[in-house]
Amino acid sequence: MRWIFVFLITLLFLGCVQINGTTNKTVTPEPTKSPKNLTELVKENLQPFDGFEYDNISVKIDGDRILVKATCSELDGEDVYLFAYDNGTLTLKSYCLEALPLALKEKAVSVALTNETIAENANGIVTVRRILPHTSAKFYIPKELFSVTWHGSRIVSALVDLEEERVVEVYVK
Amino acid sequence: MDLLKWIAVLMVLTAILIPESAEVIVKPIPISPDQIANPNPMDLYKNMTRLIIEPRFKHVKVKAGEDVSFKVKLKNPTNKDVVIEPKVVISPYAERVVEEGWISFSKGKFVLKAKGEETLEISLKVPKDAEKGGYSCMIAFTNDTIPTPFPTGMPKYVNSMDLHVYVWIPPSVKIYPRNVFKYVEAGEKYEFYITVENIGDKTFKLNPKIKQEEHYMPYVETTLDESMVKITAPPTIPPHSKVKVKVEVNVPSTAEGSLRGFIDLGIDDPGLEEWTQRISVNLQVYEKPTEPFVKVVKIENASRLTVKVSTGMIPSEIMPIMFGVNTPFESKAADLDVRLIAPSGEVEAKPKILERMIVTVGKNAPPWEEVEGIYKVVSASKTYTYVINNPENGIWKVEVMPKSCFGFSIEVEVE
Repeated sequence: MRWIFVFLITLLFLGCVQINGTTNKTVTPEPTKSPKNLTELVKENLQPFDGFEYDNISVKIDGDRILVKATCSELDGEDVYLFAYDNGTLTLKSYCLEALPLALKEKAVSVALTNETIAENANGIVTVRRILPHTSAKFYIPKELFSVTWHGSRIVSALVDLEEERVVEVYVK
Repeated sequence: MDLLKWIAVLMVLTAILIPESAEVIVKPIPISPDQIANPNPMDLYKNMTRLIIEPRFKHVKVKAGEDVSFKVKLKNPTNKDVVIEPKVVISPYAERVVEEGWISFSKGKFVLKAKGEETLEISLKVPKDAEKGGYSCMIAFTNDTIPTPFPTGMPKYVNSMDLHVYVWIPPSVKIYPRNVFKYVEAGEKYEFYITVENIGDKTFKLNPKIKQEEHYMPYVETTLDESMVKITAPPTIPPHSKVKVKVEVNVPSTAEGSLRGFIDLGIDDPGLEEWTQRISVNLQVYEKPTEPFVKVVKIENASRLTVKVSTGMIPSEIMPIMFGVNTPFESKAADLDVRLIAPSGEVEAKPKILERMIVTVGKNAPPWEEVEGIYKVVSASKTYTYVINNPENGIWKVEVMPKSCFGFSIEVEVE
């Protein structure tokens, strides 16, 4: 019994178990980093689209908050990552990944519009954002999906599986 | 004694009245010609037990040499026990078949009780030397069959499921982008690149060529051909490396509408399908105006002339209008030139510039967008406002020349 308790405590310290229930993506614990090393660590943890490489990466460190903006000349749009660096642990807090091929964005929009609710409510400026597998797992399965969102009088969004060419979730607010 | 007497009398009378062989005459039931030509198909199932099989069709994608298993649920909705004897049935007409030896069942012959259900695990082991492609077979759970008409020739197993196996080879080559969409001007030259990455251990050949779409597309005015497109690429892609395919397009001066075609990369990676190494090229020809738009304004004893020119919500890249829904992508603040020409000549006026942006924050996002703490500009516009006090009488001209936008709005107010 005592050993089980010790094992669980160890897991908690290693960060394998998240007590607060959030699903932020935590990266390998490291000893205290200098800003240069931290920038490198952050760059290692960026996830550009499907084998592309970023041409331009800006890393802004503000205390324990790290904002990264990255672009690729071959892709349309910008990827933004917000990391937190706390006690030697780098955690992806939020992200907005819009650096995608224009043709893929078109396809994602056309798949989203095959959903009746979306087609009836879509209005305004549309954005197509890549959703990472750890987020997708909460709504569907852990795979890369695409969020197609119209920012009009209402927020109308479709979570799209482009491999299957289907809408897996719909959000209208 | 009286009773025995009466019984004897009845027996004698019966023997006399009924002949030796009794003949039962049955009147025929008329059958319509339709019933003969189209017998009720349900009659074929009368003497057999029909099971509920979930699923009835299974598609499996598997690599050669790999094994995979899946479950099938058998339900017996009847009141009698059924003998289950799973077996692989191969159509004599199928080109590629799932061989009997590829399939094994978690249970052989067994009895499925009345109203009972059983889950069977079916394991598939594809041989290492299996060729890439689709294979099929039927898995029958009982021997109940019905005849099928010509030309099938083989009986249909009533309690069966269809299995389709796709044997694939994972591609070693990654290609991006797979689609090229650009706005182009007639008579101009453009270039773009396709990245081909070899993540495998073998060298592959690369022989890209421009090809025309095979299907007739009535809305496409021009198809891209070799006279318009020059492709430059190395002949091979070494292992664990990336190469760039350079595509130069000379848009003909007479081009209008769409220019479409596809680039067949000609890579000999067996994991790639013919259609997965095609890059679709869709160029939309638009004509940039050479003359400015002119708005004429008549001024008569006015105290003020106000001109507002706005890039509005018009994006720098217009998305096609799909399904009647206008879907402009991320509007960037486009640019334009404005000239105010009074009756006596051009007026140098410094405009007031108003920039408008639509910015999204996490609170307004759908739940799957984890964008808390990140601002994103989803649209932007610029409005140039020119105010001329005590404008001279006569005909004024407001000239607008778009530089990097597809349209603008203009407002003129005379006070």
